[in-house]
Amino acid sequence: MDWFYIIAAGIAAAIQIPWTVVTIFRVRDKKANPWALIVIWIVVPFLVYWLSFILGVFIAVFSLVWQLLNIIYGKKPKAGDWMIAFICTLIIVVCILPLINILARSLSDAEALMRSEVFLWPKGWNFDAYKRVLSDAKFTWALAWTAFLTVAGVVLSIFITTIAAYPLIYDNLKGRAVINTAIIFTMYFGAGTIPMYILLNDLNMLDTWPVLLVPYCLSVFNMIIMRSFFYGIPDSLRESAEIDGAGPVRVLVSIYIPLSTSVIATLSLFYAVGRWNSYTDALYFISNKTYFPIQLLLYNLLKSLQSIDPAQEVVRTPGLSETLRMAAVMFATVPILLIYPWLQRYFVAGVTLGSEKG
Amino acid sequence: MKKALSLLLASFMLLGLLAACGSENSDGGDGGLEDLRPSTTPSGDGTVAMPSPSDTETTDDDPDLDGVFFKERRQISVEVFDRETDPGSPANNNVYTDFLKEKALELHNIEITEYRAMPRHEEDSTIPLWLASGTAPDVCITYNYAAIQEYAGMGAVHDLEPLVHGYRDRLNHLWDLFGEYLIYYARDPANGHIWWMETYKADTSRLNTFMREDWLKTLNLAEPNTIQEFENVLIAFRDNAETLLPGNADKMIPFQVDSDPGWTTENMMMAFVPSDISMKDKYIYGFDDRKITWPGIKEGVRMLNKWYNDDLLWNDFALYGPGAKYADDVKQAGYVGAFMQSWNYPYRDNPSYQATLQQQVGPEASFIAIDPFQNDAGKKYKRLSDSNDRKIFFPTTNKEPKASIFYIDMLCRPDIITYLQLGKEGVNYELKDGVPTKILYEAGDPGWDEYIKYFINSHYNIDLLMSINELYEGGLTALAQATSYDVEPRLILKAVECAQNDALQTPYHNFGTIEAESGMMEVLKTKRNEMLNRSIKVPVAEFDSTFDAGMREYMETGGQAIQDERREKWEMYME
Repeated sequence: MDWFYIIAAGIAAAIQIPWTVVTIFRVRDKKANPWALIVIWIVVPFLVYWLSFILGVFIAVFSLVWQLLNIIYGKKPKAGDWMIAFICTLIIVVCILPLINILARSLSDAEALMRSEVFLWPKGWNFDAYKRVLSDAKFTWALAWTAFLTVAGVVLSIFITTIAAYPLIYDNLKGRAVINTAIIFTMYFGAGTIPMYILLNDLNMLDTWPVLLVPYCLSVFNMIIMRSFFYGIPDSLRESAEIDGAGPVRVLVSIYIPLSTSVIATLSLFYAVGRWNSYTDALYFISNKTYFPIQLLLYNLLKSLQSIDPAQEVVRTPGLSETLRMAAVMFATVPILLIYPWLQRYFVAGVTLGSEKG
Repeated sequence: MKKALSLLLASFMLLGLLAACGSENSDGGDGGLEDLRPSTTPSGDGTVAMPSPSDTETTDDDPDLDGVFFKERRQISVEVFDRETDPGSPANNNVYTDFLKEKALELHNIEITEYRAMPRHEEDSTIPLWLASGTAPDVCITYNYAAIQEYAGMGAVHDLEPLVHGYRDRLNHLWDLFGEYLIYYARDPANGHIWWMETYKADTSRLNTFMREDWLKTLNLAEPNTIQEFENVLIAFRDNAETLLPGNADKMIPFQVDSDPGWTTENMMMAFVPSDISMKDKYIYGFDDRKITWPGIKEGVRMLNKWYNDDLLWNDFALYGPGAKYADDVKQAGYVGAFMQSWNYPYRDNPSYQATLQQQVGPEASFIAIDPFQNDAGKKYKRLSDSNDRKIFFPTTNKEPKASIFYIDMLCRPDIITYLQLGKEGVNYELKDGVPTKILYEAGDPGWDEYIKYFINSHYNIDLLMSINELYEGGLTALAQATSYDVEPRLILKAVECAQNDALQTPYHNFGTIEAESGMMEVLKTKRNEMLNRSIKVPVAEFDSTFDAGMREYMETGGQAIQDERREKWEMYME
């Protein structure tokens, strides 16, 4: 790999030296801050040396995105297109590299992992880890249970969010400002885990499965998005329905909800991803392992292998192999990734719509 | 106005997010015992500052009790760590919990209503949650001494003093096993309260140096017996990398340390401490868990700095902290010549690192414990752990403290200890010449189901047993310990011998809280590691200035204040 570093050093020098000379002149002319020199000598080597090893992948993805853009636009690209392609590629690479790394690890054999030989391509291909994870009832049950929680949670959350947001658009709602403030207050100030635990204990909800759905079913942030979206729907539609004799519930069901599918889809995605990925509520509030969502299973799996201070305990218990843990990570991640493409088309519209009204 | 308000709110939200990140980090830490216990320090060899027990009346005529048997049935719940063992049985419901339930009924008429499982890695966050909400089990155990102390201050924890002293003549097993040393270990010198009971650490061995036995053989070298010889061996490893690691010579790591070099070189550092160091100095300068301010340590670090510059140390050591998986991977892949770690480190897991190494490199590959670091008196001094371990306490929501203390007494009975630690004869172990020897199974072997049924989820069942960490020596020998590992017993015997050779335990001085230490230990620990890492990595010529500047900063950050307070306390209590 020596040649690689030599090239990297060459690139760094080629950037740094002229830049330094120019900056020195600019500093002299008081057009630049002397700190710029330090930045050049820290930032440039950092970028060149540390990021150069992903350069190969970067170039590959870049050309792919480039091709796609050409196909989509069917025209000669301009400088702005280059920038967009560049930024897209950067984000894609940053997001996708860890996932590929985990996938490669889950498909490799344990010895190759131990020798740190696996980066983006599996070594010693095998599917044993997946076979084992898929045949382990603990994982499959947790997956099914989490899927149920996610679906039930989304339905409940969307219902609560809608009926919380809807009345707030009525100008004649008495005390609207107070209600608004009270709701928003909870977004900024929370009591913390211990009071929540005490509350749930007093409600006899600890270690029951609804505790995974009810306490966090309303996200104020999402409710504000929903409310803003409702504001965007012209009042005249509502008024015309009211003239035809529709009450508030009828207006909601017949006018607002049918017109809000895009925001409902978007918020469903938010809620679904949130429910799928969260484990802290289960960690603190549930001790019956039957109700453990998959992420908590995963969390325990990864955390229990972390080293305990060697001065404290010389104990370590057998855990799953690295390959198996990586397979479990994939197992828990992929299902939620699959819902993105289905909801994607609502996504952009949903997030930006209603954003002009506050 | 509206804009300002929204800015303010947004910044609150950001702060909240940041705070959440921060707390996650702090939850993640395992909170080493020594960091949590600010006033645990060595003192005189043998002399222990111990307040005398108070004159609580003994309760010979307790109407509830018939000897140690409750006339009316009592109910308690008990905490148990869950380590997610795989394979294994549920931590809170298995043959051993059934056994304990049965025994508690039979011996004391105590019914255990529940074993409450808590993930081992969550104790730092869960114990405060339980205590604050009043939902803790009746008998709790933790390493988190700080949490008990904090909640004791708020009246959430029972004082054990009246119990252990009042029923002293009925708690024979407890007093026999723990003795005054552990029972009064945490006694507040000012008011005599005992908020928690220290449990017993049966094996106080700390660290060993391990070396590749097969490499020594290949190069025809003897086991090193002095620091100089150790260095020579490292040089030989470095110079013969091509022979020892054909094709992988660039991966050679003659001596592996990590970013906590105070731990991974401790036995070596101890060789640089003058042999005539006084107990007072040990106490005053010994607040740091790696003893970085003991005299002589600087010379030890200088040696590491020289080795680093001579390519004898792991180049990447500063990138990997204690327990980093990668650091262990390279050991198992066979690239490491020598390293220092817990006394049984390469042998203890299942499969052990030793076994993985042999699988990867060949059957001749082996780590062996060596003991090369002599001090100025020719002794191979090394530190032993104190004999205390986890802490048992009863929250005030416990309405049966009396029954609870008898449950602890039951856990100190030798027969119960032996059964829980070894398991069932014929399933978990067999007797060979009177020595219990672990039976090894592979999945699918005949007897596998029975083995899983009797599977011991934690090392010698410490989670259920509570009272003891490591194998109880009553009637058993080092050989019994040796045969409980899945590597050659001779390696274990050698490791025990090395870890105990010239090793000294430094008893604990309970002078109450050292104010200057509270909240500072974590900061100082980080500073210490930074300072050591930097000092090791600089060119030899810059070592002195780097080390001295780092040490000055460390002392100014809080080290000096702690030393001053310790000196004051020592002079107050001991002179």
